[in-house]
Amino acid sequence: MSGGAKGKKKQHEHDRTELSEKFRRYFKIPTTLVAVSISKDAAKADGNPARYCGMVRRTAHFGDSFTVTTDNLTCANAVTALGFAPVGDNELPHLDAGTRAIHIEPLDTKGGEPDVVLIASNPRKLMGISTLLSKVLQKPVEFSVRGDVAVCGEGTAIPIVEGRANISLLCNGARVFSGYRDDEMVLGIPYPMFAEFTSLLSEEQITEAMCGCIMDDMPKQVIDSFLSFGFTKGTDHFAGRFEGEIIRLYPLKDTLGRVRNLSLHLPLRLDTAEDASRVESSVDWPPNTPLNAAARGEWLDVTMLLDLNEPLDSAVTRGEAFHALLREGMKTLIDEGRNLEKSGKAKH
Amino acid sequence: MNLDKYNNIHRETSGLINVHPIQRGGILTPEARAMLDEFGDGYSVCDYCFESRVDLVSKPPIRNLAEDVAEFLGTDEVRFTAGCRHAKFMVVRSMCEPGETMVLDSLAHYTSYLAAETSRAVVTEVPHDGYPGFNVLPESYGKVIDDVEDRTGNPPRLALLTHADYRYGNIADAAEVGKICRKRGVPFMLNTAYTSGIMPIDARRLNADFICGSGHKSWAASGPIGICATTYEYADTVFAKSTIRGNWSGRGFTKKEVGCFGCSPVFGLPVMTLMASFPTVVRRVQNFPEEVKKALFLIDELEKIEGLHCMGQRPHRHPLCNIESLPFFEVSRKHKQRGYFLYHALKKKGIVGLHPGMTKNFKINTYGLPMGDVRKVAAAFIEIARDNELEVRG
Repeated sequence: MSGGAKGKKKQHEHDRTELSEKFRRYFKIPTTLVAVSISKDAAKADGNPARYCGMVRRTAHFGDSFTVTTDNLTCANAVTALGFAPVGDNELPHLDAGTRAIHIEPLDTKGGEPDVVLIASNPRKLMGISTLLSKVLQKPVEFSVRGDVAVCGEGTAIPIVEGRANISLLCNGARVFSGYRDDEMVLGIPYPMFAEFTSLLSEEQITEAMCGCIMDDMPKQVIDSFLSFGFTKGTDHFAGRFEGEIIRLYPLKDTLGRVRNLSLHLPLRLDTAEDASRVESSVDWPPNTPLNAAARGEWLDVTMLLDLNEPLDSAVTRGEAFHALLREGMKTLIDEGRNLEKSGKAKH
Repeated sequence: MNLDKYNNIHRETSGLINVHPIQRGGILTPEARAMLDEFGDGYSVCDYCFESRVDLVSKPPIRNLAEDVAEFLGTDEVRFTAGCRHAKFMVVRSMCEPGETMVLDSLAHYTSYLAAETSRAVVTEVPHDGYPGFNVLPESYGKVIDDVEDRTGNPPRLALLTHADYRYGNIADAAEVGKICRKRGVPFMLNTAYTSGIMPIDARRLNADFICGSGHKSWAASGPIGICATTYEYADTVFAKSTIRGNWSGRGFTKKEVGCFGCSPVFGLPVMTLMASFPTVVRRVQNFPEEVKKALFLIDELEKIEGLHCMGQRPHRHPLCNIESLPFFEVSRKHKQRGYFLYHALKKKGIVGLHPGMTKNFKINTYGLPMGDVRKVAAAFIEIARDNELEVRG
């Protein structure tokens, strides 16, 4: 994902209404997302004279739309920060002069790509957005705060000029005259970044949720270890093909839910249930063998118990030594299973 | 908001053979289907409601239905609920105070866990015996109940057993678990979402104090509707009436039952389709062994495909089965439709109900399918296996 927006004219395939809906649903943002478009073309002011930050707030809370020109913009700092007039103080975050009109409207209305998206919300919501955004960008979301050109300079001009997201703690004007509550802040995100970021969002609480499957709570390193060995993870067990046989691996839990043993399974289908019982009773493995054979209908479940002598999540950290244990167990299981299968067929 | 998307909606799977694991027992009887228009309105059963509770309505005969269902299940009292999950919730919330322990089998449906969670009860699981049978053994109930008593000083307030589990279609030994619970003085709830309505259930023979069932899963009802059945011993507790009074108005609602949200939300089609199907349901439970035979035929055919294996109890005792199918997964890795190939291949042959995208294992339910359709399902799988160069015995 790119970190900048300046000069970037990539067309985003996503409908802005859908993006708005997806973003709000994901982060549970109660306010409307505000789309701000800067225009070099003259336009007729639409909306009573007010501060820019006040209009943004009205859009966020009531879904109103505005066209801002110098005719209805009442805040001198915003006039310069938004590029309606040249700026005297270069330290002030600002757009280059040349702005003739600014369109402020809800993002969830039909329209073109705006320059910036403003999100008015509380610190907790903005923390959630910033945390994920910084993970995606692999750099922190910054605060550039002066406290005198807030929604206009910090929230709007900085994202457009610097191509980065910026959080504003707002200014006195916004809080005193434009109605922002004490717990409100504004995050500005350049639209291309917003669109790309939002398209990446997936509802992990749904897609990555635990569904009640039996293998749900296996730690990642355990799963990775079995996968690298050649098993695939099912909902009920791990399975893989080795020496042409399908071997199932099942982590056995003790009464406290700890895994210190694995069982390897080779179910053999014999012709009849009687065959399976006959072979089961003919097994003459020595006592205390980790092998077992049990008839289950026409199936003979041949099982090899692997005692890890330690918890499974420690055992898998032993890498090749752990895999060697699995290999050895599987070889014994397959050899013994084939012998039993032969004896089942021979006596049939 | 584009409202056009809600127009002219049709069910894509109509007319196809449906083997969806949760749908077979809920397919309406012709008698229930005939109710759809006449009783489709929201409160259509409330024309002659004089007692302010749906279970007490006499015209249509819902009150009679509740009595007959109670008798059918070997219990004393029944309430219709907004699903089996609601029935379980009613029992758990009335039996367990927050912080008290209930035990349940480790294959229980998620709604059993959530019934505990909403009631702030603590769950202690009874383990199953793992791959390949995944059996929940009665003696494990005894051990877990004793462990809870040793640990907390009190026996659990409730034991829940899933009669046939949704994962493997194993049928647990409910009578034995019930006996163990009775010996230890632990009230016993049996979740029969996959059994009552398709096989005979008698709470007395199973030593069950509570039977919870699902109308839309197993009683040929449109739903949502569940069944909460109990004995006179627990009826006043589970079906406790409202005692709240308005502090200013003095209003009270003493006929309303708290666990049922006052009057159970099953008005209209949920209860009327259950009623219309009930005579068929009473008869059809006797045919359960024949239904199992169909499933066994299918399992036998599927297991002719190399590497396919029905997990769970053998011989299998329920029409729902879970087949592990690594070879289909191996095919999917090279197939252009990836994991969806099996679903699409079956749909082309007029069969639906497998979870789209699943190939490592799949669940299938043959309940109520004519034998000819079961044969078609078996033949379709075998043809798909051969088309993809899997080995097929015989």
